[in-house]
Amino acid sequence: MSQSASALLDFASPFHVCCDREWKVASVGPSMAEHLGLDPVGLCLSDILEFTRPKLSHLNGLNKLAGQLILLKLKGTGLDLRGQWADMPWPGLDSGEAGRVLLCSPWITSEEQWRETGLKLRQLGPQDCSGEYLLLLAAAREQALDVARLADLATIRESRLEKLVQRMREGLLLIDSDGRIESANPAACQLLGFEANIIAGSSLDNLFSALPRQDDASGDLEWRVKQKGGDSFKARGSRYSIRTRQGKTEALLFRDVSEEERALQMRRTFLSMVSHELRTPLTAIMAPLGMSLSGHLGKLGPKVRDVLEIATRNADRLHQLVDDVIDLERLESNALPMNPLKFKSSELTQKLLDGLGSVASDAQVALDFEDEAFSLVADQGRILQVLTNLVGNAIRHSPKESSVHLRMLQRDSYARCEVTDEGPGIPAELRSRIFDRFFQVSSGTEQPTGGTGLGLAISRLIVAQHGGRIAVEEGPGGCGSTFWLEIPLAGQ
Amino acid sequence: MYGMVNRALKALLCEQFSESTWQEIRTKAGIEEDDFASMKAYDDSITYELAGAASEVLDTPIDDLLRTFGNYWIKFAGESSYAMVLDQAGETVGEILAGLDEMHTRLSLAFPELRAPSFQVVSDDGDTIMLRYESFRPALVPFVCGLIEGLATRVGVKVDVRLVRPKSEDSPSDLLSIKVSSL
Repeated sequence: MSQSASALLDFASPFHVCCDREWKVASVGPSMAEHLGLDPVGLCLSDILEFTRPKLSHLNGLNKLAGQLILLKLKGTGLDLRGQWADMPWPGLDSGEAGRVLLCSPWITSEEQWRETGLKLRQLGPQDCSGEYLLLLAAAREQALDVARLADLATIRESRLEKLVQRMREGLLLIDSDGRIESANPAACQLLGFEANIIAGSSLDNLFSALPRQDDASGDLEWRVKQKGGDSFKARGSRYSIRTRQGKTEALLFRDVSEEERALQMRRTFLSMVSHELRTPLTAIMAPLGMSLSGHLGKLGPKVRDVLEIATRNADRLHQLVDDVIDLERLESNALPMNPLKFKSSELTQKLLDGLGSVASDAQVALDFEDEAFSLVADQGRILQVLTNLVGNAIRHSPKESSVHLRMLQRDSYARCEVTDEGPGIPAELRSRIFDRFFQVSSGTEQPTGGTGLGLAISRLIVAQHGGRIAVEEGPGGCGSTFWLEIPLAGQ
Repeated sequence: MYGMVNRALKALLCEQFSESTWQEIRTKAGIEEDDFASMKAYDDSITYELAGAASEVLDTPIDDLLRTFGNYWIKFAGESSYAMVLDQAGETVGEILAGLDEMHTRLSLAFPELRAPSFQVVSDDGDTIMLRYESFRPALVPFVCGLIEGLATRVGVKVDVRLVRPKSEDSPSDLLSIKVSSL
């Protein structure tokens, strides 16, 4: 290399190495020479540098790394460097052959020094500074700027995330592959009652005992969590697998739900108590209404009859709501035991037809039942309650002159019942909430359907108590809805 | 394309419109990356998606947008580490265009995944340059026209760039006429 080009290279990239075709070092930059403390000329490139990423089994591997960032260590010094490699036809090497050059960090990133490089370049003139050389310096600089810019961005993101983790109210634990707690955020420390340095290294299993999962659409997990001093609380949350700089780890996000549970229990108790208290006076209201309408208390004029019929319909609805609330409370507190007995599927279809035939006919909706005629063990009354609810809903939401299809199917070890309507369907985003208590799908054009909003929540609990599952999906051809349930044929 | 191209497009949109316009365009294009590494090769589709979304969001014909982008590209490169490369590329539009293929060959040493177009000056009488442009990438003639306008501004002249003959089955290159005049 000519002296002037070498001087420029020394200025612009003091950590550079030039070598020949045999990977023998021809010259190095002044900083490289200073750190090495020896004259490397004539040594093999691998005698002075270790390629840490990517690992190279042979120096020829460098030929594929042009334009890429290479991580290196300067042997004997432990100094970490970043490098950029190019197989460039350097003019003026002693052998007269083309050479190779490896530029190493630190690279020029300041505008001022870069401008200075430009000035030196112009002073040297084009004969000494090939375009390739300039390009390599420019590419190295751009790469250094990339690294700095992206590192800045990553730092900003990390710092935002760190703030979030420090301030969030949920507890967050990082768990290693041995199930030990690596770190905990302040909320986790507060919930557990320990300092962060004391929690670190503890076994998760010593603090968290998994609780059987409720049939909960959220997919949350539940634990009984031990606190310092021996107290414990119920927690709900999730576990995630995440990647960190240290590798794969697991995150556990949790919150104390004791207060939520207490409030929920109080609400349920209150609702149940009110419902029970309502039932007695309601019966006392409905009985005379029934007697009046049947004519036992004398002949009724048409206006009085109309008013009494309205009162009866509303009392019926209130009665249904009270019954549903009581059922729901008993199901949720496991106080409504199932009574499984063997029966034929045809008994269900017949009872459904008997119970809902006139309702369908009044709504001008055809009932189409398909039954594979099989036996199953279940609480017939409760399964009938579920199917009555599903078919009743289907009729209520069906347009006139359409059909509701019920299919009773036997599938290996379980029974599958499908109820399909040709109604407006349920938007996909609402399907996961349709089994929540008091949730009803409303549409601008639809008339109120008169349901209590509890039928599907009750159905879900009844099916769960049978060890089965229930769901809704879009009807065939994208029209209407299909509700289906599956329960074991042999019972729970 | 290398990330530098996408960075330039982002810089153009942020500079001439706003950061929120860029975010709107990026979201519309369905591109996750909010920043790009200059020296990393990205799929061409990212640039095309961004340009398409920008055209829609800004309600600007795509050809106009690409022409502006081509012009801006020279400004962006001229403010980057490659400014000196541009400085050395020539003193007139004709010289720079005639040396573009060689410059791309050199660039491929630093950008191994570079798949650069080819430019061939067919004639240059000092007033009018006839240029053949050949690329496997479709629909970028307006970008090239803007790029030549940007180069002209950099060397202190004015150009009128027109597509004389688009590429066809018979000819794989577009033929451009560049009329040079002083500013």
